[in-house]
Amino acid sequence: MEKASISRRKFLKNLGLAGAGVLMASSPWLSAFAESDKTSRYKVKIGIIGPGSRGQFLMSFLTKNPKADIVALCDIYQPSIDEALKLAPKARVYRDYRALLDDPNVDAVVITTPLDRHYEMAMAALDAGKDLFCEKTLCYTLAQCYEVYQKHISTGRILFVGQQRLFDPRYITVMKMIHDGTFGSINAIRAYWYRNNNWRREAPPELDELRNWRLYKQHSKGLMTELACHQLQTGTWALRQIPNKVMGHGAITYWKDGRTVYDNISCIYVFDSGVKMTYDSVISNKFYGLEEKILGSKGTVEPEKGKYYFEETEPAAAFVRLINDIEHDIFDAVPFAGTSWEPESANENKGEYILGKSPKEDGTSLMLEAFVEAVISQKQPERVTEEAYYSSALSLLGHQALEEERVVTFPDEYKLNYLNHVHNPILK
Amino acid sequence: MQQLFRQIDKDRELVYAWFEAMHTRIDLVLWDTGEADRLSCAVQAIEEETRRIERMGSRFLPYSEVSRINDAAPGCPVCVSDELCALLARCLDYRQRWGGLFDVTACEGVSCRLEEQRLSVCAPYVARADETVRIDLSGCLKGYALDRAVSLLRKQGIGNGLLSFGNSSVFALGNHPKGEGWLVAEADSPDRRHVLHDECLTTSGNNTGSRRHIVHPLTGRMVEGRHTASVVTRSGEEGEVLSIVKFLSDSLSASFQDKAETGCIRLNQKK
Repeated sequence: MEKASISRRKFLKNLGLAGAGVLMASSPWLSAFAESDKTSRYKVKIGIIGPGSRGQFLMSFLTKNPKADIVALCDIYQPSIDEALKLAPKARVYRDYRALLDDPNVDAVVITTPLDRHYEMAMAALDAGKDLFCEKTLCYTLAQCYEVYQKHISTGRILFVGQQRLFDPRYITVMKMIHDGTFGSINAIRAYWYRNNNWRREAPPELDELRNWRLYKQHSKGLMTELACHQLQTGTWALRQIPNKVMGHGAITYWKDGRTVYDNISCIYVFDSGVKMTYDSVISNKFYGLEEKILGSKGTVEPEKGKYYFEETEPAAAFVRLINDIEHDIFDAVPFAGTSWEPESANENKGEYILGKSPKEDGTSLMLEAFVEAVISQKQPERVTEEAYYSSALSLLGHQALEEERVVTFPDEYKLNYLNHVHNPILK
Repeated sequence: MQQLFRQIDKDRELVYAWFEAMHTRIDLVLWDTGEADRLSCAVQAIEEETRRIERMGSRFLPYSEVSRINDAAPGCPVCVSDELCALLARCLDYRQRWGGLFDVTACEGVSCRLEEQRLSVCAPYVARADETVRIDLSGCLKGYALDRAVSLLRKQGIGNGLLSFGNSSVFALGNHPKGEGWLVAEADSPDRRHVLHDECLTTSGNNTGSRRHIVHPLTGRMVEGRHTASVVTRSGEEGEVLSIVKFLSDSLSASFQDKAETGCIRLNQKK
């Protein structure tokens, strides 16, 4: 039997066909691809600021995109430049990001520097008239995030933040199901990311802080800004609500190696309805990995695993296969006919794959394609920046709650006109 | 009931809905052009109709119409709906037509002679002949509900779907979104495939050697042995009756125990 996979091309094809009424309602930022058939003759010239490991990872996708050309690189760490040049050998190299921003040959910039550098670079990039892709977390403080967001609005430049789940077919598909009520009322989200490593890169002492910036408070807010930021956004996407309170605790319990960021954190985010989203991360045990368990009255979603489960009668495996076949243009027989099904023959609840099979890639590639399309069309996709703004805001407020060991309420002055939030221009 | 929606393409929507009723599971895949709400309303209507029929005809529900008949004293007429009377009247016809092999009053330990009148149906009244009579519509109620579901869909203008009532009664309405008709394979023998178009595939029997749940009306004994019989018909009710008749006919054959399946017969000659 023919087996088809849900390739990006197929996914995009589906988006093009189905976009207007179906997935767009849950993921309006997919409008970025609305004109992708008409933009093949364009090429966006991109500069990379901080092409370290994450920057090179993003470059590996951009170099495969015929509509993107990496024309400039900027870093103060030569080994990063050397590696990045292997991916973009014709790129001009800068030591100062301001010089890269002055380069008129650069249309858009990608910022993948340590978190504490994002603000000044992002503001400068937008002021220089460049479209901007900034890795998450958007900025080191909520006030900075707000300023960058407002700068994006006032300059009209494109702004994307590296929240790849927004473009992950698993998440897009299952959020549609959640919003359709397939899993009933969502009353809890349990997000976590567990690792078992010191998160430290090899570096001589004089370069330790530069290379291991994630471990030091002056550069990063550790697990909250480097890991939680991705996952907290799942909660607002699923519930279409911003939680207004957060409490939690953080500590260094295992990696007592001179780092100043926590290696053990727990937060509780509270939505106005009383629904809670918990977030835990430790980096001294990896058994449970990472997940955002979305708990509904009719079912459970584990988007990272790519699966969902129903509380009572499961969907029939043969029928799930049938609809997956249909999605993949396959006309084939499904084996289920026989003598009458009896309840006692029901098996253990193993769940179903959201896309019909185990996930193999996240949304990074599509996210970068969307950015390139947005730069070409000069149309900011709806809600993509607001979702990212709030992901950053929630991770920063969570960190504040850990630091201050108190319940932190979302400050009114940093609210946007988004979902359950209303912006008050008098406050800011 | 739970539902999953999928967009087939820009014009066509699909819904997969499932629920438990009639002591089994019901799986429905429907597709159509237009709004998903229309499909959602259709599957909800099917669920309501299925539960209504269960409340009417299940002997396991203490307040069903059938239970009221079974609980009444022998010979005492019970007033029931015209719908149930009509269904029981058809069952009596099937009994006569198939030499007593289909009998909704069959009961383990009781041999039912064909010439014996076990049930009196005179709308709106039904009466049992004696204490040994207990109406059990398990042999046709799913098929009847399936026909009602198909009828509901046609009235709503939905012309394509695959409807499974307990896997044993499967109606293929119209076409698969990507082909003509629907392809259905048997769970125990996936190589045995059936192309169905506005047809019902019904299977009766014992899918394992240990399962025994069908009483032979003429002997009053449970039929034992791994064996199934399938038929393809135009209606679910007819399919249930004929698959049981075929299964019981097979059971009289010497090769019954050696041959798990006898193959499917098509009883719906297309014109």
